Amino acid sequence: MKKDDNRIVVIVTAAVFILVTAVIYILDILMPKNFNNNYALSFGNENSKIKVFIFEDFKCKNCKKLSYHFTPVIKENYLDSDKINYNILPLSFVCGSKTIANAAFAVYQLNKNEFFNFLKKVSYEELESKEDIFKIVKELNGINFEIFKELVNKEVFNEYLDQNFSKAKEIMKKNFKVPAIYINGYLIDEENFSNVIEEYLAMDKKNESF
Amino acid sequence: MKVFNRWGIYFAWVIASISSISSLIASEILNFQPCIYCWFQRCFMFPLAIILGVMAYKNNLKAIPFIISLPFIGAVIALYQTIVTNFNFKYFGCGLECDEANIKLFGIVDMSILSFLAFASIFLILFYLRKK
Repeated sequence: MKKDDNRIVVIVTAAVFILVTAVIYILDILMPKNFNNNYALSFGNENSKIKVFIFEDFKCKNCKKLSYHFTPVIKENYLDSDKINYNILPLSFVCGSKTIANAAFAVYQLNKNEFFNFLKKVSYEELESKEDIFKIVKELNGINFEIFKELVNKEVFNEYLDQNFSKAKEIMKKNFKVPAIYINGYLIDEENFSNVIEEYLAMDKKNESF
Repeated sequence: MKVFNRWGIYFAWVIASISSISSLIASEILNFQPCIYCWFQRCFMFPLAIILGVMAYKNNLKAIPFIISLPFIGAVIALYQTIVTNFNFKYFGCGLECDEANIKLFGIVDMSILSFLAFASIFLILFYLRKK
């Protein structure tokens, strides 16, 4: 009888341990991830309830595709009408992408309105050197080229890239990938982006009518 | 002491299990990369969580002489890590994210101290129960 008591207690304890671990693991997957836009390139309506965060490296092939084909559509459908808040979190782990990422931050700081033109050109062309980037930026409007050049040469935004990289590792852990799109803290596929946004917008409208 | 004689091995198993689970949660969910000393301690803690579980289930203490060295060695490594991380011996430190993890219970007790306490208490329990 005593031996049986031991066995029951051990089995129940083991079951509790397994249950608690499973609950913590599932909660970690189900809970929305927390973001802030301190080191992001932020566009659209800051007060929108729909917040999009995208991790991307401007030199990775899939990110380039996303920036060239997908971002202009988002801009036209949701950003120009201030429906969503859209944040790009640039990363730099592909060789040579630090300069482009620094250039992206510099363009954003010097003239936010020209950023999407810059992004489209950067994602279309194969950029080999700093000079290629400078050539693109010279064609943009409203950017003080001398300041831009200084910002890029001094790589003043490397700290931002490090912060974004830490955040990406913290959020994605072993499933690290770029581009990674999060809407209101949940990871989604590029193909589902519009559907999810429309769902959120519909929900938002419903809440407002109440 | 009667209770301890009967349930001591169970308490030791509970400590080993909680330590193992917390270590896995810290690395897999909270995303703290375990350093080399953490890995050495894991090598000594994970087997204890299994072996002590079987011993508690069977209420059998005969394996104690075979496993008592595990918590002892684990405690020595944890003590070493506690000293190098808390007394700023950077040269001997792990150099990884352990220093940055900064999880401190009551503001003082960090992960290496918790690990030392866990190993030491398992060792003391096994030491007490070895001749029962």
